[in-house]
Amino acid sequence: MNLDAWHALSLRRTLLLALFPGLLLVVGAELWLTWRTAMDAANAAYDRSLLGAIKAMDANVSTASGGIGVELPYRMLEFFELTASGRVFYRVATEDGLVEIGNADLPPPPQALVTGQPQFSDASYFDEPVRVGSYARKLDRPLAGQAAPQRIVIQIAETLQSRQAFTRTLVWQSLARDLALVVAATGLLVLAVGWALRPLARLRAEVQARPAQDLRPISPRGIPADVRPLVEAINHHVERSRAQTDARRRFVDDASHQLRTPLATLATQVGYALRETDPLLQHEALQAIKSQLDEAVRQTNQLLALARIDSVEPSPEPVDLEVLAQSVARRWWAEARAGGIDLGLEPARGPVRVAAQPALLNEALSNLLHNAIRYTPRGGHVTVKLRSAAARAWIEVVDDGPGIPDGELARAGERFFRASNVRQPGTGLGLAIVKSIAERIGGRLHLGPGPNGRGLSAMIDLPAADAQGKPAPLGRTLESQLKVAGR
Amino acid sequence: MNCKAPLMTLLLALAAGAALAGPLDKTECIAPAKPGGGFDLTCKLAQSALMDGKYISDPMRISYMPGGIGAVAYNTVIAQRPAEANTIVAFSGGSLLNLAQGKFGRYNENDVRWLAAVGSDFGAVIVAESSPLKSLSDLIAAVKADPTKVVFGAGGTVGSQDWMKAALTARAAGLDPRSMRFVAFEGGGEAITALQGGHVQVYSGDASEAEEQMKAGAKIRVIAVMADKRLEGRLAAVPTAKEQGMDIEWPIIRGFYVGPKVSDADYKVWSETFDKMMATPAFNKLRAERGLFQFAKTGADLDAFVKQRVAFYRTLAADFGLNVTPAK
Repeated sequence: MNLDAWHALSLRRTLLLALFPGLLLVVGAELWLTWRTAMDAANAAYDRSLLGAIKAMDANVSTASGGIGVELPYRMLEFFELTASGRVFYRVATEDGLVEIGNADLPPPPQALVTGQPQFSDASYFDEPVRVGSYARKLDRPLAGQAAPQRIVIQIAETLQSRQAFTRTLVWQSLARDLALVVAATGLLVLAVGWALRPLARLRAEVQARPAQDLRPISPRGIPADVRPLVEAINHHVERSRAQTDARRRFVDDASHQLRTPLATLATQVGYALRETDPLLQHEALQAIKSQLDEAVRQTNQLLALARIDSVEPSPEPVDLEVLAQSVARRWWAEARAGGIDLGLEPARGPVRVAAQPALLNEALSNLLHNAIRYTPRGGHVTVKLRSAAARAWIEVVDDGPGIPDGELARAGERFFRASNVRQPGTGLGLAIVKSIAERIGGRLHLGPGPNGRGLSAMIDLPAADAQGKPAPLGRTLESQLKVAGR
Repeated sequence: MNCKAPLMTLLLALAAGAALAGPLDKTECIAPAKPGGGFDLTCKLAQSALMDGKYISDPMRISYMPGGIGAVAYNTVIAQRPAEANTIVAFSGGSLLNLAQGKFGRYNENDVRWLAAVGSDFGAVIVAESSPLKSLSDLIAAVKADPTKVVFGAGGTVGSQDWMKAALTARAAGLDPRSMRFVAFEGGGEAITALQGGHVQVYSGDASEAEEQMKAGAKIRVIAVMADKRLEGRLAAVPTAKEQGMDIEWPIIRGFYVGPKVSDADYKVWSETFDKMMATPAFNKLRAERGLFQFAKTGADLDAFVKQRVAFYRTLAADFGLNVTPAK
């Protein structure tokens, strides 16, 4: 069977298709049991009256004459036929075959009769089903010269009309009851399913009525618990695609905002250079244009990097932080030396692994080093520190440059924010890129003053990965970690 | 001498006792059924004829010993009362048919002393006076229409002479005797009671007992007699089976037997008494009153007749697929 096709049916239809035959099956089984029970009950009740008739017949057996006389209780048999609403047959016989009265060809009891114990059996007499009660007892005295009293067998049989009517009534009643039950259950089921599905219809109406731009999350209030995860998943999906849309819009905004000024400046500078006739001054102007262009190129690259971060799909792989830090630091080594800055790496005690995209992490660390080297004055120190503890890993870049004034730390990391105490040219995008990457790979960027309150400490807090490179379960955050450390 | 006197006294006393306890003193006739049937009728004939002819001084006692249409009485007399010289037991042709089929237990026709046949009877098909069945053809039509609606009453079960009469009728009409519904009764008296009560629809009994019962006021009707010609008296209007297209004759002899250990002397006293009595017109009158025809046989004559009859019944029963005992 095609289960997908089955699942594609409406809930109501699926429930009805599964439950209705199921209910019918249960009703069938119940009816069969009822029939069996009714048969047993009818037999128990009617066998008793059969035994009563046998006893009445038995009471009319007399051996007083020396022979055996049976006064046939016709009145009793007539009443008995009335209550059985059918026909009654009887047989009285001695086991030695000397005496045979009544319907001699009545079917014998299937098992040997125990003296004094009635036996009831179903049989067929002249092609008609009958219930036969058989009973044997010892005669009061031996008959016809026998040494010991022989046994006399009394059998009474009745046709089954009364029993069948009794059973039929019970089964019909049960059938009517069961059918009413099925109808009621089906009705309730239809109503309940309809009622349960109403929030979904409402939800559909609500979503359909929304304007195209409305990407607010759908309210899960009044939604059945079973459907809520679906709504939440859809909300999550919409939220992600909204974030992407936002990122793209932001890029367009940023790009237009950031590229307009350098381009305008460049146009002015080029105009100035064209008007200048003195080759020396013209060369100076071209130098200024070159540096302006370099800045524009860097800014464009950064903007593109930021846009990429926003749109890239997370596909983490295990990264050894020490290897990564070493390779990045090596790249910045020359620049640090040119600036007269002491660039150091302080690895952790053991290997530190995280699950992240190495390219992103690379970009983030590069940005931090670039910032630190650019703003730290000649003779300063920049150190990359790695640490890990309890499923977290930290990568920190500390410098002893001017740092960021306390009041502006909170805003650092926003796009195009530039601290008030810096004079060097910059885009204000470096920390924003680091912050975006940190959040993208499940971590956070913490900014604070360096050791002894001087300089800047920029720290990326990441979840560590286990040996297989899987992200470890979320542990304590950095704050709680720091609290523990500070105690 | 001293011891002779008591001996003489004993001998005298024995002689007196013997005279007192002759076979004809304190006589008893066992009718091996309930009152009202053919055995009862046979005993009553002996009772009145013996008394009227002064062959006995005390009235003959009639006792009823039902059970298996004579089977219980036959066994009781042989096993428990074999030497009771003053007890005679009624029998009929039906008893001989049962003997031929071994229905009398382990005894056969050689185990009693056949005393006398006192008359003959014929089979008859009897219905209730209110019955819609007026003839044998009505009966056959009714059985053919619905065998469950026509229940045959019979003195005795399958194989008994009443069954045999019905079976012969059925066979003559082309029906399977085994498809007919039978209810066995303890003799004809019971069957006629059931007939009047509507518990059975037909009784294939005997003409004499039907006549006797009608005399007593029973509401029954005879629709056929199984004789070679019409009977006399009350049943003269009833056509024979042959007249109705079915060649069935069923004569029945009625008579008495005594226990196997009854002495030759006592047996002789009884048979000579019956010989004498049956030669009188008074007896013939009583016999005719009972609806019986003349058929008188005693002694060795009867014994031979009984053996020959049993042999005939063996072939008949075997012909109907019934069990028979081998002849001895």
